[in-house]
Amino acid sequence: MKILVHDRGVCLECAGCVGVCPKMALDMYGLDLQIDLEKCVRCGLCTKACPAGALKLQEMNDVL
Amino acid sequence: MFCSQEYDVVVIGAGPGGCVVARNLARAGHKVLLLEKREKIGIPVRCGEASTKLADLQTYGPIDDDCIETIINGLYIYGPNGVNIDLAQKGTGIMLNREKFDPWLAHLAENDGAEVVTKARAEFVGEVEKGARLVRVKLGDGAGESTEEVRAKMVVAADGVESRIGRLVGLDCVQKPNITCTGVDIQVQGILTRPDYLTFWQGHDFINDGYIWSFPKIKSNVTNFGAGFRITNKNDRNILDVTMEWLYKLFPEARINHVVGGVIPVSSILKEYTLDHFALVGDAAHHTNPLTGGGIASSMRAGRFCAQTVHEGLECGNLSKEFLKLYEKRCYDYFGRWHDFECKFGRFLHHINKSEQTELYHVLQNFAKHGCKKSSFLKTPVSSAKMFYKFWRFKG
Repeated sequence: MKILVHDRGVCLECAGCVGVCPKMALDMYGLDLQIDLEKCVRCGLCTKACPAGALKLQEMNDVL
Repeated sequence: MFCSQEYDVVVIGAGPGGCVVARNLARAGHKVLLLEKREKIGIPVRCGEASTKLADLQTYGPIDDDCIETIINGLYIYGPNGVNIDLAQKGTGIMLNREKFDPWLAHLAENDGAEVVTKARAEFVGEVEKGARLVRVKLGDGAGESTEEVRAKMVVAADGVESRIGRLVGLDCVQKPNITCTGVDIQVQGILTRPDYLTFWQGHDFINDGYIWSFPKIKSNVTNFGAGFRITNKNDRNILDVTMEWLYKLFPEARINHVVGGVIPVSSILKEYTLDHFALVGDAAHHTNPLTGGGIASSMRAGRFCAQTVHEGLECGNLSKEFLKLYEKRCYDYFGRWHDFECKFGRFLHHINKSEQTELYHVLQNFAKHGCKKSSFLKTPVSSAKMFYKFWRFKG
């Protein structure tokens, strides 16, 4: 199973991912990106939209 | 705390579009509340900051000199296979300083009577009840956070490309993958390219579905070097890496100040972006130009149309969806039709192969060289006719 991972170090805080997410699973609070993993359908659109490559779909095992 | 619980109009987002709506309606004597989620209006900038549509920018009259960085006297495009286009035109556009421009616009709105509140994030917009909508706003942050509710006869959401409010009320304004661009803007110290020109690179292999730009900001002595291309499966690498590589290839000495990013809707104007007592303005309604990605001027123009229509609606007590269609129509007639055309041209440009692209650039090169008149196409009669025919037949 894959999971969406956000790298805050490279994030440009542009909220581009919020605009492309078809499920409104992402939201930007100030400079914090919040990911609602219950709503996320792992389509990977946000990973393509991100100009800096700060979002990645990774295997759950690799993350843990 | 707000001054009141009841407003004629609540505008969400204090960008160029939102500010124009707020100011024009306040000036017409309506009670207006302008909400901005950020602490400081205009910061951080998510924009290339150039515009060639002065008439639309000057919807208020002349722009404050402080906000203008550069007067642009032409465009230079490095096209495919060395076919470059030099489009000289005195005073064709300006480079803005959005860190100053946006606050200036908001300041004008405030002067004309709009209530401007920052660090105010619209969380929820309710259904129409007794001719008004409820807006729930989160104010401040951390310990000082509070939630307030206001009611407004009209809600205008100019909340940018992510338009959460637009989606919340059920409008289809989500950015679809093949009609959305992702972009970065790298601010580089010093002036890299011709100081009074906007410079572009287009039609090269690595940017076949977008372009790279270099926009000089004279007063600040920096250059906005950026790129935008479509979110497609083809681009495995992220756009920041591609742009950095190109920057260092052209200007090995470049000193980077900071990097900003963002996505740009290039779908052309949405088919529907009004509801009863509700309308979208600017990026949220995909008012951006689908070929260039520019959106400051069209957002401001749309803001003016929106204010005009809402004013008429408030006067006659009708803010139904049917009535607000007039706003959509005004936008479509003014720039929407043209955006549809440019959208088709953009798709055509990416659809044709490299040699056809080069031929098209030859046609455009001659067009620019001979003064951008319709007759200029006659300088390359065969290529022009061929391209016109291809474009006319193109359905994609």
